[in-house]
Amino acid sequence: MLNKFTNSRPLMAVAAFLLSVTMVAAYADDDEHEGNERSMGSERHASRSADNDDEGRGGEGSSSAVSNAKWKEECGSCHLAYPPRLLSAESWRAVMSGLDKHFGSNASLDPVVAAEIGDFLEQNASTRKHRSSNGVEPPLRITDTRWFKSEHREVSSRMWKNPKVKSPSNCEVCHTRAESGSFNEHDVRMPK
Amino acid sequence: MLRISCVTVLLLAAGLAVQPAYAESPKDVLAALQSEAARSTPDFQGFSASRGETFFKVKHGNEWSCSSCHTENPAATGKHAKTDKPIEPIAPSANAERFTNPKKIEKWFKRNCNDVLDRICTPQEKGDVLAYLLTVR
Ligand code: HEC
Ligand code: HEC
Ligand code: HEC
Repeated sequence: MLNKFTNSRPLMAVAAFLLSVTMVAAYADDDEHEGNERSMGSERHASRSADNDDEGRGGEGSSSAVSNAKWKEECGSCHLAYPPRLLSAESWRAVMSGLDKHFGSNASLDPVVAAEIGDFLEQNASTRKHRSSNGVEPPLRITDTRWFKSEHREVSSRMWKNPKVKSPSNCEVCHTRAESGSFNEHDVRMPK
Repeated sequence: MLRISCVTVLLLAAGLAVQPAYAESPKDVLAALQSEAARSTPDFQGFSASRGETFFKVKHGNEWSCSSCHTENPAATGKHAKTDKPIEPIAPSANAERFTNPKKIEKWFKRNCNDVLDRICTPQEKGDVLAYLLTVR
């Protein structure tokens, strides 16, 4: 009996370690550069994408490599998987609680998967005030936030109506590296 | 001895966790729908590819048909009617991953039927559609 325990303990440790490795959804910080609300224990992690060229400048458009396989698969099947840092935790909670009526589409998920994705989104959400909107709170759309409107104040209304754009929600039409989470202004290509 | 069996158990557990939820063939999926339809549909007469084709291509009272996103040619790459995101072909002849993962199939039938018909599809309707998609070369 004793023998069994001494033998299995290191193995259990290995198993626990393997489990924890698969569960770490590389925590990266919010992409924010003003104020010092980030100063508490949110150092930039090595997991940030290596080709991120605005490291240090830390603009809104910098990419962070936070990822989660279920999020990528489930939230990236109908549109770009919008990075968690673009909405507040309250907004994500509201989005996740209405998936059966999701912007005119049924995006319902199995509750276990939904809970995992919800945790991932909330843990990596933005903590900034201007992820709020001037309308219904919390906003369900990134494109309704004051932040989004201010970043795009120079985009003309004609551009938003371009049939190639169709909807401001289609980030990847203009942000060529949106798929990898990068919205850097240097990667913007406006469609003709 | 004991150590070896522990290792085996761990490897087995890891293997189970890695395996994608049960790969089946589209024919297995069709057979499962067949027995479901036979159980739930009074005077079930089998599936019909031509009925499936019509079901796939017409609207059912809402803005979209199945072909609004999967296109009139199920062997071609589709496009999400709202977001324009490309969708891999839905016909098994053009995309070997289709109709091999029962969980995924159920998830999308539920979502898409709700969008197109405001209700879930019956086993008869699902079987007709799959019978049609299997005839697409
Ligand atoms: C079945 C298709 C589908 C799935 C799956 C899906 N969505 Fe969406 N989502 C949509 C549609 C359609 C829109 C509206 C797009 C538009 O207005 O152009 C949308 C819009 C959004 C928006 C608002 C974008 C904006 O305008 O700022 C957010 C945020 C969003 N989805 C989050 C998610 C998350 C999180 C998941 C995963 C849990 C998810 N979506 C899965 C179809 C889907
Ligand atoms: C019609 C094209 C277009 C669409 C669609 C679009 N953007 Fe932009 N975006 C721009 C332009 C143009 C800028 C401004 C670049 C500048 O200031 O020079 C910009 C700026 C930004 C910035 C700031 C970049 C920086 O380096 O400071 C972010 C972040 C951003 N967009 C995110 C998004 C997100 C998220 C979406 C989708 C929900 C989106 N954009 C949709 C065109 C677009
Ligand atoms: C609004 C767009 C849209 C409409 C309308 C739509 N689908 Fe889909 N469908 C999708 C998307 C997106 C996926 C998943 C993306 C992927 O797997 O490539 C999908 C996947 C599926 C799958 C999963 C197949 C598999 O094994 O991978 C089935 C089955 C399916 N659709 C059936 C239908 C049927 C039947 C209809 C009509 C009742 C329909 N769809 C209408 C967008 C749509």
